[in-house]
Amino acid sequence: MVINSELTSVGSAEVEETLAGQPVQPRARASRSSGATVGRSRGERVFGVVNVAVLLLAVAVTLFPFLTVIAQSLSSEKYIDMGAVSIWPRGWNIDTYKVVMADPMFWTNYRNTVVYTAVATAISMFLSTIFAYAISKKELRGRGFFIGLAVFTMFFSGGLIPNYVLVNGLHMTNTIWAVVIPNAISVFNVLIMKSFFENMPSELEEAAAIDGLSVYGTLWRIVLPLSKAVLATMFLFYAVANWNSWFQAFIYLDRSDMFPVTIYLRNLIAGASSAQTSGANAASDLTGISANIKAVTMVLTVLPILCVYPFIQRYFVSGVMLGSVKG
Amino acid sequence: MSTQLSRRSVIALGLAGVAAGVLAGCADPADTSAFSGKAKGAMKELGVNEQFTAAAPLTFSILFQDNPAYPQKAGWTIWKDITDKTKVTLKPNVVPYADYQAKRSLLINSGNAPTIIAKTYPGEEAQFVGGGAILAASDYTKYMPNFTDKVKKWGLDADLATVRQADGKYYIFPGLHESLFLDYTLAARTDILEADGIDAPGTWDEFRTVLKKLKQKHPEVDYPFSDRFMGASTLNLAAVTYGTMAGPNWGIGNGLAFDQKAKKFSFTPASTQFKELLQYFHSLVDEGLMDPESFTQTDDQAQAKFATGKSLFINTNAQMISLYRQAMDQTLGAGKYTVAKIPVPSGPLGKVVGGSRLENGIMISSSAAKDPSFEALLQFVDWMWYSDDAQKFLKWGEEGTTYTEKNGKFTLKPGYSLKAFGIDPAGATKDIRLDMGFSCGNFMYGGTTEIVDSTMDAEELAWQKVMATYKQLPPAPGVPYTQTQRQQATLQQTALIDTANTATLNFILGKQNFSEWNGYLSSLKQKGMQTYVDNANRYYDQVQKKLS
Amino acid sequence: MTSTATTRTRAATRHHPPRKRKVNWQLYSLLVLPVAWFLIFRYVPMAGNIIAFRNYVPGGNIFGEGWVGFANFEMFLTDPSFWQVFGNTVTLGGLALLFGFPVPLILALLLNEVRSRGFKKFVQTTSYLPHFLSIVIVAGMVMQITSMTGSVNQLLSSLGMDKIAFMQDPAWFPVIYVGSEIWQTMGWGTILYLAALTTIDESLYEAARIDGANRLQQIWHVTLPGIRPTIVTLLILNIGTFMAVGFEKILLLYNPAIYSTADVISTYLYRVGLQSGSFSYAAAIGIFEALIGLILVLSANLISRRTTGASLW
Repeated sequence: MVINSELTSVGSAEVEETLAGQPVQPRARASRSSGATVGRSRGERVFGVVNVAVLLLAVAVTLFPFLTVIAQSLSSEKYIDMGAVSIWPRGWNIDTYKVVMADPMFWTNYRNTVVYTAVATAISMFLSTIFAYAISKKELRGRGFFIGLAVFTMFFSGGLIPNYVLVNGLHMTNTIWAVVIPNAISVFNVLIMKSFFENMPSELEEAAAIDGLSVYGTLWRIVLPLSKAVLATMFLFYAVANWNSWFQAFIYLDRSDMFPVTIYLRNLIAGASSAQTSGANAASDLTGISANIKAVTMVLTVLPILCVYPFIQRYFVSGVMLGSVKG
Repeated sequence: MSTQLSRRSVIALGLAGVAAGVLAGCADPADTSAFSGKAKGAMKELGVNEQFTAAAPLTFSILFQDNPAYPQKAGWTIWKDITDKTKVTLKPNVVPYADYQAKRSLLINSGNAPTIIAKTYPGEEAQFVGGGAILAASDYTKYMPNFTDKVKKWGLDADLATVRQADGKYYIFPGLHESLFLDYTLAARTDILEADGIDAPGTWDEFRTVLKKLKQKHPEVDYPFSDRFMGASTLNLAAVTYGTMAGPNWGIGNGLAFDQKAKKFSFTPASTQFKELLQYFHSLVDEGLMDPESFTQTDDQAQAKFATGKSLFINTNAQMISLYRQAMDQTLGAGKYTVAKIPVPSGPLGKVVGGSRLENGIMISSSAAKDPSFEALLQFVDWMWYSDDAQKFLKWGEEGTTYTEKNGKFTLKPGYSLKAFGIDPAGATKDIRLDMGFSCGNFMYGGTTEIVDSTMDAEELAWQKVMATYKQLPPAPGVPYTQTQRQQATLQQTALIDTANTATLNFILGKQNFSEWNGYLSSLKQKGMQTYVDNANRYYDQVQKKLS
Repeated sequence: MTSTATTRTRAATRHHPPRKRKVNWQLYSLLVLPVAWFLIFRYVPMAGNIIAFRNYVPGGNIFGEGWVGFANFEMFLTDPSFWQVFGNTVTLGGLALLFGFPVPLILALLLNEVRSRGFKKFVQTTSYLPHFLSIVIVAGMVMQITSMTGSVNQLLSSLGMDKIAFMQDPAWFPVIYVGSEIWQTMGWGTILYLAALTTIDESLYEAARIDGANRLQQIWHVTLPGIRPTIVTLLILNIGTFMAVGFEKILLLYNPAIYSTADVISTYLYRVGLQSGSFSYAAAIGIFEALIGLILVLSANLISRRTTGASLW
């Protein structure tokens, strides 16, 4: 009883403090950094400087190309052709944005992407979490079998045609279910979650069991609140994967008003580039899609999902276990 | 599984349909007893260039390739126009351009393909023949008066021979051209040629000389010639004039050149003509006249070099010339340059061009043969893809509404544009392609010379006229493989063609010396070149004997 | 640590058998939906692999038209072209694993040592941006940077060195491929490690510091052991899937001049399949690759269990 309330109070306190933007464990954090300022050796300072330098290099290398694409989306085509656009837009041009955003199909597809991503992520999170939790429990009989069941599917798959025939046979083609269900569980993610769950001290759950909580209760009220970091990560992984996915929708959907915006984008970008390698047949057909249009569509497609991570960063809080197993 | 059963029954019915067609063929050609029970909505008789109107409203599904340059939209009037004219509603299954082949293959393989499968290039239907999923077109073309009329009038038997399979039939309804459609050549900065007093090159050797002169006179230009399509289109153009085949994905094909007199195949990447071709291009690269990066750069990079004046020649087709001009108006300024297509330079074989007059067309699912409206389907297809009226309609729209025609010259009515072909008059509010769906790649290719030329401007027509004086080499027949033979041959073919393509680049770029040519030949022999060629000849002879 | 262990055993002996059975039933109930999903959407379609032993004809029966036994396997096992592309796949995948695995980990550790939260957030966010760029755009960028007039060659000539034709020299492709892979995935991989880092008890750092450990020693003795389960799991999984090199990226980057190092199994099958639809052949190769992957995972798991104690099972 005592342990329970202590846990929940730790949990809520920690969430409140994060929402307020304060460091979670001021005491613990301060001890590391205050220790650092007080007794900082020259070696530590050098390390700090080198660290920052390396990280800045990583930023430069990753930020630069992205800025180039954004700049291209805001530039006039002629400067892009001349190769004069690097990270600043030249020949300021927002007309392409207006044109692309004026296409009703773009918005229909966009709405589809949002719906598919939301539903798919919810289903994936649900199935993966309960599966990962169940197989993380060492007392589960046949645990090895279930883990093997999942791992085996990482390597062996039926191929495109059997999958298509199955989904079609279940009458799921041309519905949202064909997009959100066939790829719902990523074994990779499940195994990661499992390792997080296994790493949790078992005293918590045993205490909960003594208190009379069912498995469901333990999972919902004890384990999940303390697994915010991994849940947030998995949510991010699934959300991004679903947002960027186009292949499932491509093979199972026949109507362009059901396509996600990634197919719209891919048709634009990949279609134009496949012409150069596919020979005369393809090249005759395709009138050029300008680099500017490609960049605009890419930026519009990517922007929302980019914002998910900063949003969930608040759940990456350390020291979740502090105070929970003392005594 | 239920799908499995339907798969088997489809094959059985498809075969039954073929058998019925064969039987019907033995009778009077006008006897349509083969269509008993399948004549719903069909016209009693459809003559050449007659308007097809279904006797009852019909619907056919069609696999439709969605080109991102003119995406299919709700506002397209073409679908309704087709229905108004023919009482046939086409239900499009829209597939994005990128990965079209993958989806088409998936649908056919899982037994879910629509009735009409558009945008199929000759050769692409070959892999589906063995499984019985697509209709043997040659069994039914006798019921298609427009098709047979054109084949006879334009003498297309040799071209159709290129798509005949091991059973002697062909399985695609190809687009037909009255005259060989040529489009690709080199584009030149004609303003600079004029200013320097240099004539446009007539042969490849002259091309080299022209490049040399330009390089001398323009030290600020890195390479006078920087190519796109990874050099493959230019290689293809030149290869034909050297009497061989080359160009990854473009011209090299299956590497089998056909000696029309001896009726024998040979593997042309092992020939001396191929070597001479490579030696020529090597000389261009070696002397700094051709950008070595031509063979590995993206089209965007090549185009940028040309548009900014860093190179002076590039490969092109008619549509791309107008794109270059649009770009160069921005980068160099309108009026400060001129760019034009030059006639294809000739080589040791003189002024020759190659190719077949077949164009992309359609496949029909074999399940259509059991459909009650099968006869109407054939009539509809015959009208839509093979009658002059339909082709004019599909390209230009409604006569009197969107365009007028006088003496073979087509003019859009005021308010309409066709930007894709450079027709963009001031005050145009509707583009017949972008907004209405005409001139759409799924329907518009092929036809009479007049129709094909109708979208060309004066400059392009002049180029076509010059090219029409070139000698047209007959196309090589396809090798009539059976399913198993094809699978074997494909592995050998991939290995041999890969070696040829790698060698093409290595020799041209100077990474391998021509003294090592024999080493290249032995690597080809090692990869089974002799078996590959012998098999091709054997299968061809077998089928020829069977047909005669 | 010992106190927790004794607590555990004490608690275990207090368990009543009925409660344990009930717990198991509820746990099993959690498995119902996911297992059903695996069976329907993963195992049922696996029946399609049978075409590796049969003759599949495109457009015909989806289970093939007749038994051919191991003929397809023989075909590729005796085909020198196959072994060439197999070698390339192993090389590219292996290099990507060798050089690509440590990078997100190192980046996460470095980020963890940063004191300013703002800077940390900034670096985190920018480092994962490449993950979101469409692969076609990435390929275009790579071609641009490695071109004769691109940034790399500009740098080389400014340093007085000869320009290199990167995309025409087979020796450079592995570098280009692995480099672009690392660049595109490093920021993304750090997210998982950063999440794992949050589970480390802060008081352990305090204790280590009091014991006189400097930054590096803290990392070695506290951080790394703390996230060891995550590292090991990821390593085992990556070893198992290392042969799944990026098909589309290579397809966009390669050309015949560099087939000798750039052509991998998937691109080779793509070229073969373009004309013939050889699904049986592809299925046979797929089974071969899957077996290799499975063996690798099991071996890696075994080694990991013997050496570090952490394992998937």
